[in-house]
Amino acid sequence: MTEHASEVRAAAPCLGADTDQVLRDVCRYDDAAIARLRAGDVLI
Amino acid sequence: MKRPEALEVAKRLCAASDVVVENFASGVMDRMGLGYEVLRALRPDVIMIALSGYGASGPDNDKVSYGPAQVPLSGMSSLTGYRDFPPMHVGISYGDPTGGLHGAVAVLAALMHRARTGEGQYIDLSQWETSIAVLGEAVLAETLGDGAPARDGNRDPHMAPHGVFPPTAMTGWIAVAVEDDDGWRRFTACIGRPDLADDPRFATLVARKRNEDALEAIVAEWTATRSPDDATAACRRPASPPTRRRGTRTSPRAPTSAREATSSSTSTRPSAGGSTPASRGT
Repeated sequence: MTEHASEVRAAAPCLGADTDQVLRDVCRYDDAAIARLRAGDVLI
Repeated sequence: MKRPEALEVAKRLCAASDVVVENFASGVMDRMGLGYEVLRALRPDVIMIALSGYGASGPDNDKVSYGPAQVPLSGMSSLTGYRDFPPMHVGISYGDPTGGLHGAVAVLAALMHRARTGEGQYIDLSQWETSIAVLGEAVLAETLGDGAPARDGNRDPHMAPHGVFPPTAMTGWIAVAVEDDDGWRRFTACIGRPDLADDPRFATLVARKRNEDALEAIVAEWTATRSPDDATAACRRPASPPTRRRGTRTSPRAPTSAREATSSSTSTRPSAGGSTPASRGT
């Protein structure tokens, strides 16, 4: 373990921090659709 | 998840995923419209694992489960606690980590299967069963007709001394586990009591188990004047080398092993080496 280089690259994301990115990149929603979902309280 | 737009989001996410993991009570995903057949229609090679409390089938499949219920139902609580005292919880919701770890291995196997065949699959995992799976020795003992193992505090049926002892000034706790007779001889050297090595009360595991109260009093007397770090250092010093070394586990009925095994480490467990609460602090 001591011979393995390691570093802290980022803090753990807060709940929902990556939701928009996942919906955009994985689920192929566009920004307008994501905004509608958020306005409709589908996304928290 | 009860809104159609939310269900559509979940379906898109599942369709884009190699593995779908859910931890609802059995049947909830089906009722939400996200059961395996639905997801397989979206992605034929999807791997889905359901980590419900009691599995998708069987007499308890409709029950909602939480970790604190799984521990006693697995039998783990019946093994934990002091002799002649009630069963105890083990400190954590054991079904959660055991379920997750077993589930991770199952998913890895499913991914390997899919890599070879292109087939996805549905994995029905009972967290309750995974908690039972870590009690192999106890399950085997009862299966072989020896009955359920009795609670015995911090003692171990195959090792003595085996317990947690108070150090000086309550700076934590000192856990001691001596696996066999060679380990006992080395331990007596570590604690400055070589005169005990061949004491007939303690020379064999059977004898040490028979005189465990007296044995623990000696260990506690030694730990009482040391910090956990000092005790650990003392037991790490080279003592007399093992005279022989075999891989057979020692049993009180048939003490034959001499595997190298003296160990000591610090612990924060709030209990002592004895078999009852009354012996704590001895």
